[in-house]
Amino acid sequence: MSEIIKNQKLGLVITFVVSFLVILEYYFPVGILVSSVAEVKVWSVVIAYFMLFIGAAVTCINHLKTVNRRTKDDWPYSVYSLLIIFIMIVLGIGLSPESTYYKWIINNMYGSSLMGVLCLTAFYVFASAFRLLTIRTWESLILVLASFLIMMKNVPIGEVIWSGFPIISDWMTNTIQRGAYTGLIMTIGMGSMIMGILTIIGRQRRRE
Amino acid sequence: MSLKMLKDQRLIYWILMILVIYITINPIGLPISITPSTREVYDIIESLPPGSVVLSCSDVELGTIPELMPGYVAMLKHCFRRDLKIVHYSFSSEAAVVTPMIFDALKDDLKDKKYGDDYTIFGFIAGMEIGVASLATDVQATFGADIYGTPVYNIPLMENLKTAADFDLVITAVPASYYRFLMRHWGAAYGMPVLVLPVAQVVPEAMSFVKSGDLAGVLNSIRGSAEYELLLKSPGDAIKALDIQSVSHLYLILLVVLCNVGYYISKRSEKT
Amino acid sequence: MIDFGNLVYIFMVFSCMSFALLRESKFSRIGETTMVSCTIGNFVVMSYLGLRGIVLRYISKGNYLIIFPLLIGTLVFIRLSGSLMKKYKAISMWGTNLLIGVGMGLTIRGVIETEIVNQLSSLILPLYGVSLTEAIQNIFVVASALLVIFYFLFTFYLKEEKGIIGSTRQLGRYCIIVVIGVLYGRTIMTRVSYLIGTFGDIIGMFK
Repeated sequence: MSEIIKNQKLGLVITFVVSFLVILEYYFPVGILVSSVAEVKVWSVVIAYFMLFIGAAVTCINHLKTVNRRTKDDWPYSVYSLLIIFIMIVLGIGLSPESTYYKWIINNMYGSSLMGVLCLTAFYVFASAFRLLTIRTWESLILVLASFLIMMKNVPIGEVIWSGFPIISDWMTNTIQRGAYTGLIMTIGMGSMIMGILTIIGRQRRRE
Repeated sequence: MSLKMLKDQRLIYWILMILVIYITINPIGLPISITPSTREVYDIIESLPPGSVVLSCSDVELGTIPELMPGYVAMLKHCFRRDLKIVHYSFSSEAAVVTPMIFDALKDDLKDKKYGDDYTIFGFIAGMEIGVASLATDVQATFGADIYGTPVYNIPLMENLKTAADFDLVITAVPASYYRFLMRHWGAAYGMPVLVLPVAQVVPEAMSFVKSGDLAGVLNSIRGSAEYELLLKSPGDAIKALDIQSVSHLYLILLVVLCNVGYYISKRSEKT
Repeated sequence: MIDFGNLVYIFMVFSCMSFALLRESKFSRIGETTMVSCTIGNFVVMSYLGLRGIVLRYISKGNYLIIFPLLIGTLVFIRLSGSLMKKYKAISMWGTNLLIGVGMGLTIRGVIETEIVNQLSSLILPLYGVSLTEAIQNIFVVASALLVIFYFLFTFYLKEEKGIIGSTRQLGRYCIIVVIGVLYGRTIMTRVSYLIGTFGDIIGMFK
């Protein structure tokens, strides 16, 4: 019995049975099937919460190892990280996320640092324009024209400079872009479906 | 200061930052025209009879507040003005901070509304697609309790809401393709109209789903939000943001032109 | 009026931005570390409260089936111990297997209708009974969709771009490049929004 439980193939059986039931429920919404799949979905939400916990646990363990080893230049930041995580958990769970102190940390430390990091992406996108939007080939010309037209359509100054920009841009959006996107969505959809089927029948190699 | 500074990439970042700060302090006030996609979204909410129940599903994160919040607040404002009932939840873990910001911006419209009867706020539901699918089949079990800890069965508005079929409309703001979960499990499965406010990158993809009939309407990110504010006659942050967008886009185009001119000049001098 | 919270806000923003505006330094690392640790702390708090809500709801209804996912979720923590992992690796994967099963099932059933069938039906566009402009537009839409599908379907079978198939794939590539160009143009809008929001907040503090 313990050999059966420890066998990795049991996991594949769980995946197959659960996904088969979920797909079957969509096409045959019979009473007991609907209620059991609804139950399984709530179970998945609960397990998803545990996945978040394990991610946090692994990060904390890595930081503790860094502090233990006193890795040069890194260990003070690990102490700082662990302190912030601990304070947030104590305030959020001990008091409440609605408490003044928790909100203070979220607004003034989390929100600000997050926006700072995201502003970096704004800077790098402008720097990347140099490399991406240099016209060296026909393909780069198409790329530059497409981005230029959509930029002029999205901002009010495009219409102010020339009223033809939105018209040409709309034509490009409603013909080539629309068709190409439909093709992309269908191809990606087919790919996800095949990937899903391979995973369910156990033919997709997983990195564990 | 030397000429070597001009070759430094950091100069681009500093000029961009200065431009954004300058236009934020001195807005230009460029005219904004209304596009058909925004008009469609407006008309869908306008056509709902008072008392209809709307699922408001926000995935607005702290990072996407500037882009998504103005338009999302405008849509909710419209819903409240039309006396629609709102059931709000989030599948972003930053719901505890963002949700109060959203409802704080709506405080004037909430003065004559009663919590629990006209609107109710739930917190964060994990599991992304699984959470959305679970909500569609069993609303009460998935929600559990609202942000104040009131069990869902004690909330008058939630009494008759058991599955997705009991709602009339879904509105959502998303920073990526997460609207697909609502589209598949609420739209396609229950025939629910789904209105989406995505970030700019996701708009073309979402528009394909409008053409195929899977989505009812899409707001074009910050541009659509500004247009929606104009339609509601309630100007806000989106209209101010478009001025800065215009100037930064022009700056980028100038950089690209300079880069290409520089490239061709250097290519020519290599040949000679 | 500027208070201590606002000062911390400004410090954190410029700490992160100094990575690009100046260079990587201890100053920039403080901002990055704060962001990562606050994200983790927030995730843990939100997950705990969500989990507690669901469990209390089940128990108040007298439904104790919720014990099963709690047990399966707890088994995931076997991963934290190397020695336990060697013996009980398969058991620690049950939670993942359940999640993958539900996720894949939901994806497959949802994708077929929305991303394949409905998208295909949206390509069935009229050529007769519409204006000439609309008919030409519809031809462009269908042609670009077919060219993109052709490009992806024939990726594995061709080594060189030649002949009719090669030229068709080249046209498909051009259509994809239009999409990439549009995406890039739209990305600028999203990224600039971050700057607008950040500086809008900071300037608002001084007003």
